Amino acid sequence: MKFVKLALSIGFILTFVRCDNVFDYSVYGAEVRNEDKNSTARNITLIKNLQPTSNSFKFAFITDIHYYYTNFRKVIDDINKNEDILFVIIGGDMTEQAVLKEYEIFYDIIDNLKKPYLTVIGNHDYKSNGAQIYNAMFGSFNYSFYFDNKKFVFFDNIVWESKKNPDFTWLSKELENSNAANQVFVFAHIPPNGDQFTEEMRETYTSILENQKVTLSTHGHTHNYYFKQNTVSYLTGPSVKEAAYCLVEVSENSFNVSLVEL
Amino acid sequence: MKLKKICFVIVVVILCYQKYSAQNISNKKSIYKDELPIISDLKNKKPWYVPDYVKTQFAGNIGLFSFGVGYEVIDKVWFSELLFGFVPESITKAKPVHLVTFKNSFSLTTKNISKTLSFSPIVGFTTTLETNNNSFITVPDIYPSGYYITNAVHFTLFGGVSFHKNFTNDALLDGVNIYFELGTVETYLWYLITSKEVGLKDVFSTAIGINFHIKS
Repeated sequence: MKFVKLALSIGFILTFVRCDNVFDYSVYGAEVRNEDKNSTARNITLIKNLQPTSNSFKFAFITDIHYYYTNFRKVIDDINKNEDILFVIIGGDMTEQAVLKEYEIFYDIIDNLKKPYLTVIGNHDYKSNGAQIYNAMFGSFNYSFYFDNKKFVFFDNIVWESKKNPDFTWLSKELENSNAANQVFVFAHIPPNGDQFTEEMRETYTSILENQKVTLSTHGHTHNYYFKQNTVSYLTGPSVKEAAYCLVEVSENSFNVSLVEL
Repeated sequence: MKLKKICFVIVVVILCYQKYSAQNISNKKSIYKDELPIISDLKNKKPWYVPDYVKTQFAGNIGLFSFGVGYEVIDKVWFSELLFGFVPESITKAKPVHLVTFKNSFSLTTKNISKTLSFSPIVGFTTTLETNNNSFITVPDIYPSGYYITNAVHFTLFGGVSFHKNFTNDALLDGVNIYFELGTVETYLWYLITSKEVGLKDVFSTAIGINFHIKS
């Protein structure tokens, strides 16, 4: 009897210690917490309700967080201080191994951001069951929205981990229907000169962007800052590892890019 | 499903074999008329590969349930186990998870509560292998060298308490261990150590298990 009592009390204490998950069955689970689901749709609604206070607005571009959580928090705190930044875009690789726990840590940290945010999937985010988790937590891999007569297009261009070619047909159609926009911004994790793109893919991507008069194509993946202004401008953001992010100031018919290093 | 059946069959076979071999040894006539078999001698007759106990565990990052066999490498100190764990699709919300786990537990000390009951603080680690969830042992050829490391192997670390109850007159079992563990995975532990954004409650979870010590 004494044994049973002791065993039960120890079990009780262990079971009710404040663990997020009292029981973890494996690292490969993909059951997203209900409150974390469909965050893309929720954030788009928040952005659409924003009103630019002047003729221009700013958005921040953060990318390649992996497991640099301390710097990620630093970047978020810095963005929170800047009233001019209306929303934030994450350029992919929010995780390292794409296990649910990493997605949850990312989600819990970005919960400190006082502004809406949107994501595009990265190659690391596809590992294990990352694709299912991303889909449940955020939503579609390819999507777009309008804000202040500008179009923002998010494109999944992961090749190796997704085991499929990027959906260039979707991208082309999406950009064709951008007449209402005076500027178009495209976000995709891998830059066209990145390691996963064949020469043919690179050619397809750049020609679609040129034909559809895209303003700026923004990427992550390389962990290095790169910006080239042209008919179609190309920007690659630094990794959060360097506690840095990009700031894009958008005016009526033009934009400016600056690098913020903390 | 197939793996569950295999695990069940293995456990049943081991139990039957134990029962049969125990009877066999006790029925053996000594070549010396007056000699009685000494229990410790009989214990040593057991082949090395016959497990000391069979077990099941709930949770602990090695399956919803895991089943397997265990060996006392060092009596009452070092326990080595081979387990098969599973998590059904209804819980993973992805493909079912099938895990093969090699588990080592170490008893730090043993305190007697009564004649037949004792408890021990335990620590240990597991090595798990899983290849059904887009996980690879060797990185596929499509990736350049060094692009990724394996994501099919994980390690867990745990600490907890184990209660041991001796059975004095049970035909099949010497006793049982019921244990409770608090543990984490190597990746989670790394994040806990390297970032203050990740707290204890984010990475630790509990497990409960029972070991059935078979009569030798």
